[in-house]
Amino acid sequence: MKKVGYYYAPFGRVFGGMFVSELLVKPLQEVNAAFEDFKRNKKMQKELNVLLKDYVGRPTPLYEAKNLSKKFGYRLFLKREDLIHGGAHKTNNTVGQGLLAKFMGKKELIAETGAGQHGFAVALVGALLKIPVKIFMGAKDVERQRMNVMRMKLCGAEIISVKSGSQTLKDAINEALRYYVANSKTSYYLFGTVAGPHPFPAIVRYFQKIIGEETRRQIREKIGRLPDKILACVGGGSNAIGIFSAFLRDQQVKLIGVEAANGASLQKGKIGSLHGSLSYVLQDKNGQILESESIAAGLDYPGVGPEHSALKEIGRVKYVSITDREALEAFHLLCEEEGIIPALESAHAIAYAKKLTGKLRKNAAVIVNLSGRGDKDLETVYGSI
Amino acid sequence: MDRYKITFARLQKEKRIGFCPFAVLGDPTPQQCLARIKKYLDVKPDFLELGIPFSDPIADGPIIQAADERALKNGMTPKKAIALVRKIRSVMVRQAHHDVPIGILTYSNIVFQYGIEKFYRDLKNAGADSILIADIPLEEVALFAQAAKKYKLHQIFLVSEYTDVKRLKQIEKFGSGFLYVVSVLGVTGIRQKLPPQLHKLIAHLKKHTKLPLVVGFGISQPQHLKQLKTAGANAAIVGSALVKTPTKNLSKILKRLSCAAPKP
Repeated sequence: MKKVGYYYAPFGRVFGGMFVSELLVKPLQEVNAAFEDFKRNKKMQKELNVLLKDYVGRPTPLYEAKNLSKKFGYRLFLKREDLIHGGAHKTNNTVGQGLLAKFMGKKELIAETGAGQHGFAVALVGALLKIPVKIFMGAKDVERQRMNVMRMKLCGAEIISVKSGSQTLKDAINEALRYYVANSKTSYYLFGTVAGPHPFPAIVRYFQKIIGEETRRQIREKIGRLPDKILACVGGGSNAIGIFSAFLRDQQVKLIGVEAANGASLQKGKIGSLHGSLSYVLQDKNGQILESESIAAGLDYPGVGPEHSALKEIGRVKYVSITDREALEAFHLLCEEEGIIPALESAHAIAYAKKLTGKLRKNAAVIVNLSGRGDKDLETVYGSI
Repeated sequence: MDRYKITFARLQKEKRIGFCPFAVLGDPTPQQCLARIKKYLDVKPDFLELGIPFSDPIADGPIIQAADERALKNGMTPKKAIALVRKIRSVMVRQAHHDVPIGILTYSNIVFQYGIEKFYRDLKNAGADSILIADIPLEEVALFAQAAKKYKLHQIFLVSEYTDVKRLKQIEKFGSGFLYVVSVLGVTGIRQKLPPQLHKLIAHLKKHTKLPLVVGFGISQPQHLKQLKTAGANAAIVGSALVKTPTKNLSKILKRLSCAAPKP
């Protein structure tokens, strides 16, 4: 059989693939075929572009954070994905895949969610496109992300609280996959990140690459050249792939993925199969998946997208980690210095930017992908003081 | 000795459907699991299916998942699970269940971390006869099928209404022993009724393959076995209905199920 959906790295290392039950192969092949048609379909592309501009609010600004720049000693730019409709980069993907589901004639959208950002982004698209939505969410996350649960419900989504296993994103995905096996004829599984079985990593990358394309254009307009570094937080890794994708060939642009210290699959994990693909996974020596832990629900995931694993192996992206405490400090710093409340996920990338203080020349340009806004995290932040 | 060949030939001669109970290895402890298997053996099953527990069993429903969690909580590991298979085989030999094949069910990450070749070798040496990896479809099976061939274990594949004839032919290239027919698109569990289209699926598969058909997912009642026999299935796997029954209450349900597949 021909191998599909792999990301290659040296020494025969491969990542990705399709590690799913026989029952999911045909549904996934159908999604893949429809996705290929969708990309070539001028009418769908036009509909997508109109929605991205008028509904989602693209392009998002690339903002030079001058107060923080002064503090850090280099030029810091923020790609303002926090400003798009829904409050995070997730909407880029859900609008795209929502249209794909409509294109396929599916009658229901299902999705997993951790922080609730992806869940909300699916809920709003479901309302917009008039497709009913079911969101699978770990019971622990339902508790700690009440605001997003309310937002999803307001848009008419049904929330399924998952009480098995870790009661977080990992088990929400398990449960959504189980439901999908039984309902793939009518349901579309709107996967939220660049992980999962082929073709999800490729589909999500396709709809998120607009972040990088805009950033590339914008930074050139602003400074007349490419940036020195780009920083993005990595849970499953979709916002990072989105912004990195446009710069992978520019070796002079250093790309840095920032993981949560206790969810750092790429730094503390081993290669294994989880949720349909081969990638770095937090696991014990017997292959049982470990639970991650992070103050940022969106980074609280023991796996990571397979393309990140390949980028790590070829050394194109450097992966670092940030603790809960460092992320919280950065959260406050951005609020106080720039009047921007970042998502705790994005605050991890800000925290690493802070660590670069004094290490770069004055006119060095660093871009942080500010993937989401922090309104959803206020309870968590106040609870932690 | 190919225990599957022997068993399926005997079933055909006796014109009956085979009964295959399932348990999760180490659920809830190795000792109690062994006691459970001994109960299974009391009714002289035709096959055994045993699961090596995994933390994220996406092809399984809540009952098997809970069993996996119990076993893992009590320290079950793949190595201990394989040791338990060896013990079960030795009990079977003592009780003269020589021809009863043992099938293993697990997930790919367990096999990756153990080492593919080593996993197949150790299972073969422990007395297992087949292996089904729930999240390895045809597209990913090459390395596993190689190991299966080398160590003479049957690589088992799931088939469903989604498996067309072309795919079935490819599966036959890599798989042997039997085909695990999924009764319904979904996960393992207990279902009151067999889906009406299952007869058609079995008839369709029989027309295109010589491999014996073993039906699983949702099979929980004696009448299911009778219906499956009429439909032309060679054997039926009962998992969740047994796994959720405490060992002390097993005799009754086992007797009812095995009576639906009566021995001459």
